[in-house]
Amino acid sequence: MTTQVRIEVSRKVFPASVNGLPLTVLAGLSLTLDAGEFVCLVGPSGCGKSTLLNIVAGLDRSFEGSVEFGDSAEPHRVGHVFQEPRLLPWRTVRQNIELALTAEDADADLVDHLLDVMELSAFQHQYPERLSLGMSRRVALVRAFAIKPTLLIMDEPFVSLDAPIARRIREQLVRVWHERPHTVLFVTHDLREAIALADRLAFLCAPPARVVAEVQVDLPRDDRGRESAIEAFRKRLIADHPDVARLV
Amino acid sequence: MASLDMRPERWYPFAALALLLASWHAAALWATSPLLPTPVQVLKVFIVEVAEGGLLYHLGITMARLAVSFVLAMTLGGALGVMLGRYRALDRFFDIWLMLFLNIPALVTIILCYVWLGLSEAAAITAVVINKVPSVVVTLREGTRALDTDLLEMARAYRFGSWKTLRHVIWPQLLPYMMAASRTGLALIWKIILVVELLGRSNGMGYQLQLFFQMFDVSAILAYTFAFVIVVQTVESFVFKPLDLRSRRWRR
Repeated sequence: MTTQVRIEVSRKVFPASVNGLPLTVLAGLSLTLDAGEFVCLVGPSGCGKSTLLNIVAGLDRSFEGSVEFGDSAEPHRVGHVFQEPRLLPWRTVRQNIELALTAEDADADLVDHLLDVMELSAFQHQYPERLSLGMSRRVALVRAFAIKPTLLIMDEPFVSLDAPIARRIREQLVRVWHERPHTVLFVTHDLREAIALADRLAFLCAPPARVVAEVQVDLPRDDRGRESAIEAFRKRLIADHPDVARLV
Repeated sequence: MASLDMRPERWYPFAALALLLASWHAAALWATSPLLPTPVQVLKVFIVEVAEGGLLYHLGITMARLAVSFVLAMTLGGALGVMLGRYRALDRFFDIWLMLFLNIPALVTIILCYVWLGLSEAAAITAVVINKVPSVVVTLREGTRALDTDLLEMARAYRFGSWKTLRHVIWPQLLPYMMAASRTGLALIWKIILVVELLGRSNGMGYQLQLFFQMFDVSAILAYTFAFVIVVQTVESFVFKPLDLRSRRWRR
């Protein structure tokens, strides 16, 4: 089951910080994610992308506006992949995944399958400190997929990974996403990564941020493994949208 | 393969102990005074006290007081520490109380408890608990301040609920602080509880030591001390060390 998400943030202000001025991070932001759609949010660093994700996830409720899921205002089930893996170091890989599941929806077969796809089966009883960063990131992905999310939120989950490793994990991500399609909101500042993954790109400007442009990625999924196809799309995109070029 | 370890370092503790006993023995032979008995004499008194005297009874009484006050102090101090660590306003407000209680000499608390509550069991326990609670509060406050907010946010994102969050996210982070507070706590309570018993109880190790002091019975004093050291070391090796190792199992 998957759901449409309508995000309207008329204002999000951070209270006065050290220098005494409240900071308006988001203003007049409007974005709709269609059911089962993979949307990449692209924007300069510090433009409030993570703030927006926390609002959508329901972790931050102090904003003006609304987030609606399908017909209800409560997020049903949100899988969240943070910038850092955020695994509990004192629980094993498997325990970290199972802790995110509630007793009634625990699905051992699904967990086994996801661990298998992510090439983690052999490490499921290890503690996270023994894993590499790339492996920890994949565990965080498995945890997010294991809860059978209706919405998956990902906050630059592949930063500081070597390019080949990041590419491999991206392929695995797309594979498990195809197995059970659900709405995805993926944040990145890497335009190539966004083109490789997304159905649609949404560009945010510097704070106070809003969506300044939306671009459909009509590149066939089969072509996206090719660096040249991605690069060609990127060139075309920048030529068509000179305003976007300044943001990335 | 610890059992096959023949490195000389392994024998250092035994050699050190032997040296201590030998020096003691030599000093006792040289002094030839009942005020400095030999280790063998002390061992004899120890065996007699265990077999016929009240050593086990008084040790048992002291252990019971110790257990009760330890559990009370850790629970109370832990809860207060977590609260102060979590709520800044409370912390700011009660900081001065904490400073005050940390610096009241143990003897003063003990005397005041006996004066105000009477020479009762409750007064004895209260005195020990009041002495210990502030340092537990300080340690656990530190631990709570150091809680990882990223992991707490993760727990919220995945709807852990309060019980799961406490058990799997917060408790494992506080455990090292609880261990530290327990170890220093036990060491402190051991020392204070004897004074408490000496001043206002008619049983327990402290009371017995006072009797022996009045009789200048150094052998018995040393025999009781020996029993004490054995118990403390046993608790350390068979309770705290394994717990500590268990809590660190996940570390690289």
